Amino acid sequence: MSSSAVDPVLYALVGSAQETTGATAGLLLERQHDDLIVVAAVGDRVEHLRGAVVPGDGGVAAYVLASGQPLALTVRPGDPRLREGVMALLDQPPSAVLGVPCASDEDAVGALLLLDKPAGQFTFDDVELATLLAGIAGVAIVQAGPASLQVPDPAELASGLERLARADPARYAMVATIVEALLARG
Amino acid sequence: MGDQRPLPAFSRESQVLRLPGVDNLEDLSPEWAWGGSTGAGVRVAVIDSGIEADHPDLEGCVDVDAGVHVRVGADGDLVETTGYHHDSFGHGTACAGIIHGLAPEARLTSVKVLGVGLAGQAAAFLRGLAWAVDEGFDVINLSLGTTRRDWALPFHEICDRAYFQNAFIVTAANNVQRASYPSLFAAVASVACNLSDDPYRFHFNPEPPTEFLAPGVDIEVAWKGGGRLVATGNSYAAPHLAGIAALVRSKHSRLRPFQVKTALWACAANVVDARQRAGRFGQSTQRMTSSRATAAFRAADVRSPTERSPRPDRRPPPPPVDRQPSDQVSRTDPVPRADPVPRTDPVPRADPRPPPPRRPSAT
Repeated sequence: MSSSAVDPVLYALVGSAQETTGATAGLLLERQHDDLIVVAAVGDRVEHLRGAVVPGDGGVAAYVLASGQPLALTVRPGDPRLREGVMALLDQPPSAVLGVPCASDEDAVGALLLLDKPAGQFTFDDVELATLLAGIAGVAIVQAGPASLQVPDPAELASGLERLARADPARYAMVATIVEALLARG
Repeated sequence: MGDQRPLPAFSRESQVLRLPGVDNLEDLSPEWAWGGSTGAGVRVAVIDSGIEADHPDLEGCVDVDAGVHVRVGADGDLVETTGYHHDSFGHGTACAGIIHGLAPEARLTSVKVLGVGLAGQAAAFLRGLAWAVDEGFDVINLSLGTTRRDWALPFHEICDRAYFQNAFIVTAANNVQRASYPSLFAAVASVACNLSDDPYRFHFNPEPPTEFLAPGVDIEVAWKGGGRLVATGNSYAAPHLAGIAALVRSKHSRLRPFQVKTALWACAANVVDARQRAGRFGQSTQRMTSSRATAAFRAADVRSPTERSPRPDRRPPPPPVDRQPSDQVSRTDPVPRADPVPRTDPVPRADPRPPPPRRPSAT
């Protein structure tokens, strides 16, 4: 079963955050239990990371999500200390990172990461701007439902069950019939 | 009836209490508060993501065996593990480095509440804070908070308990305009950023609940992996005040938390500046009345964390003329002050330590 389609709202929010802060790339990670999954990735160097799952016990995104606090860091280019979490999946570690939590109601459900600002370090203005957009992203994540990226489309689910039913009718046919009935009922 | 007369509970005769060398609030100067102090004898708990104890910047100041790691177990119960643990993110190491830079002889203990699992953090945080209070730490640094209102009351109770058990809690205010606990409570010292690059230059903010402003913008901090990086946030302002509080508590071990907070108010750069400005206008021979002092510091250069000001930060004029007999340290000694940290990265690290240690004086 494939993942659901790209969420245009989340991509628009990450793109806005990236452009307005001057970052070269942006990532939105959603919390799924104790892991983080990349649900939006904007910028040439990170586009391939959509769908990547990283552990939630290390790295800037995990800290931001765990603490609920924004974090702005600057290191010398090539410093390996930012090679944790999703950063470990990059070809080169970033020279500057801004992480802000995506808060919905009172809980952080994800983290917005902005990478590398050629004009210099991320500022408080960047923090405030990114926080505003991350707040909207938090609401969007919650409205999309938990684990939105991995929940299959209902039609895909029915199709998959049909395939299984054909392969092992005794085991899956009844389940497929029930699911189809539920889908038909709406 | 005399002494036999029943009195309401907690009633007692008052006693004359006087701080050595302090006849008036004006005498609460930085030199009085922490001049010559190194933080010796003070224990500071850093509740965060752990501390990389062997980081070269920390110079062995961490009591590794005393540390505790609180996390939520698979069954949902809190699990405490004492002894060594690593820093999951680097944030706790950064806070520890700032405190150690200011109070080099204070002993630091890591209370790790962040890092394993992304759920139940508020419960682990609360338990870690309660542990630190029960262990009798002199200063507790919280560069984190929770925005969950359902946790506000338990945190309020713990912070009040800390206050009466003589633990001085320093918390970072939220970095954005959002309620965060326990930074909103009166029993803690809540800190946001000023724009100073002098680690000893903090401000009083007359608009609570954030009562103090300390350096937190473009701060070079220790980070996991043995290195340093430049970080911005209220998270780094709090340990600046915690470090200074450790110096104060080392030199004046009998001060209660509200007295420590009062001393910090009196030593805040804008309060000191206000006194000195008043002195320059011909009032140096008069004691400021409390109302005059209040008006003066309200007009001083308190800025919100988001306001910008030209750099470098303004330095206070020379110390005022000493009008009182010196207590333990000479008033003519300069206030310990570090060289400013250059704004560009890479930078040589500033040495924010006081002059050569003197034995802390008891109050």
